[in-house]
Amino acid sequence: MPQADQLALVLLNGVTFGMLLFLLAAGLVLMLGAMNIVNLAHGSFYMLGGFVGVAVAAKTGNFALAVLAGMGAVGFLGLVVERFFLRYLRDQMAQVLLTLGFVYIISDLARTVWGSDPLSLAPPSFLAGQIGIGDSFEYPVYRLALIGFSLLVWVGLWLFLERTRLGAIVRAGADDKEMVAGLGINIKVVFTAVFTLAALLAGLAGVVGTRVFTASLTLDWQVLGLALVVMVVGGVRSLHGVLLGSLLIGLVDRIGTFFVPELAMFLIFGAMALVLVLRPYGIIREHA
Amino acid sequence: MHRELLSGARVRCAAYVVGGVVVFVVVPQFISSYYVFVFTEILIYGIFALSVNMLLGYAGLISLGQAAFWGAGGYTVALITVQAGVDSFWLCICAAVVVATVLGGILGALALRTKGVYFILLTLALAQMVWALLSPWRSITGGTEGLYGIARPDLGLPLSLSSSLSFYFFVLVFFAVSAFVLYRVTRSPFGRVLVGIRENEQRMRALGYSTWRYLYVCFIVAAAFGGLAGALKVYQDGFVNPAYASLSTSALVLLMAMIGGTRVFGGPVVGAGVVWIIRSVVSSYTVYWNLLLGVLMVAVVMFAPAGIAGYLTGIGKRYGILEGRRRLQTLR
Repeated sequence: MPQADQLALVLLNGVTFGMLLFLLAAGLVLMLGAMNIVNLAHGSFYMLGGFVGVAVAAKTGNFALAVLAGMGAVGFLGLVVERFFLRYLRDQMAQVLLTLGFVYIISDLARTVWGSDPLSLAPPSFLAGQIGIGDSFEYPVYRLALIGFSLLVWVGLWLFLERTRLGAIVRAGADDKEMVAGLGINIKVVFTAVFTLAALLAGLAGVVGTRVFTASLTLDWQVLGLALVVMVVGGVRSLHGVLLGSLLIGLVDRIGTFFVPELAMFLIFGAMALVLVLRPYGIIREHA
Repeated sequence: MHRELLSGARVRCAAYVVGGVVVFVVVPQFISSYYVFVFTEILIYGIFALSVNMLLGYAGLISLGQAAFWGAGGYTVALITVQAGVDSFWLCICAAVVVATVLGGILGALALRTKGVYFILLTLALAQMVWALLSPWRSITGGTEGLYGIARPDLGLPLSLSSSLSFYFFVLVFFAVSAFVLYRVTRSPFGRVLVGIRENEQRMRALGYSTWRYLYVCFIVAAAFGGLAGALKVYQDGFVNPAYASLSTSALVLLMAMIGGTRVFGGPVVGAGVVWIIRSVVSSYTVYWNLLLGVLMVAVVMFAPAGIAGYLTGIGKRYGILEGRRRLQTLR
């Protein structure tokens, strides 16, 4: 393969990885960025989505069903966590401890149910195979679909947060819960709904992401770390910033893996440190 | 001002000292070597949890990156003994503390530029950066396997630390000194300013305190003791690997402090004890010790948000065993 093609492949892989990171962080934008809730179990939600998806796909052989099951299971878990636990907590310290507790609980249960072998999900038939780009260049259809799908999520979330009444309520509620409640809005229900939505997104990312990160037990910490790095680089409260951060980190990781594989992980964090030295609050800083 | 010999504060202080001596000096003489090992772990993690609680309980900063200093201390010891082949305990321990302190100075300067959620995420990300450097740097750090074969310290005295009990008492000395120093720090004017910053940073700034400088020093103190704990842990384990600096280590020490109680000085040690005792007792019956730990954390958050020690002192105060609320009431 010629050098230019190889480089294009690396760049395209970087974009795919970045878009998956965005999908992963999208739920956190809602939780942390919009609602100011620290959820350290986000990586566990993602991992659980992947495991459920793979299990359902193994039973039914249906990709769509696997995605729905992964989303549904994690969304329900998110609903329970918010409605019965997080809602009653006042400060971030308590949120940190509670969600850490769920990290341990979910990882032990997942180990019992699914064991410690990494699992991966085959793409559905209409997304299988390679597609030719240009003359001598092929790329998996599934990955291109993943990029397109993540872009859809980005646009959808942006419309939701910036252009709908509910989105405005969420943003206002993060600033001053009591004031919003005083306007006659049931902010608790809104928060539960949005947290559930964020969990759904984590589950979704978990299922579609098994092609990139195989579902395995060390995933919870690994994914949490990556998602938080992306958030920090992009700017926690900014959806567009997080997209830029995801692409930057995705590209740095794949380019780094290609040229200096041993230092790829370090390069990610090095890029992060560089961004933070220049802009401590991330690429795009939005005031809460 | 003249204080009575048997004032409440002195009796309580004496009770804590006697209790501490019984638990940490007398009990270990009568337990199996496995439990001596567990007690050693409790003391080492106790120092570690006290260090993270300087930030958490006193300055009110949630740091998810304390493992960076634990790892820095640990790797310093391993690099000096294994890679450089210098077998000097005092050199190692001093170097470990210095390296952790310097690292604390660097990471603190970066992380303390932000507040709130950003600070949590930044400490995490910066510690991940340290962690990410350890595995690929195979020629020096031993890669993912880490470094092996670190012997128990040789003090150059006619005193062998090869038995687990003697090593335990050796660690106990470090624990007692660290706990004493940190206790004095929290009770000093410096510690009071930290609490003031935790409660209302704007007001402290209005009073003329350079709050950033106080937080920075606090971060560095926490880093130094984190490094000391990490160095002791390497002597306990005999090896070091990148997991020392991992996110889950940071999370574990944070949860020890929070389970025990962040607003009581000894809370983090109680937390370390509870976590280790659950781990050692439960793991011989079931493999689900993480599950149990998670359930315990959820229960603590929901039912005893002040942590176990905070909950107990709350009860003590309510029934007048401990001083506190009652005195306030009589003052009113």
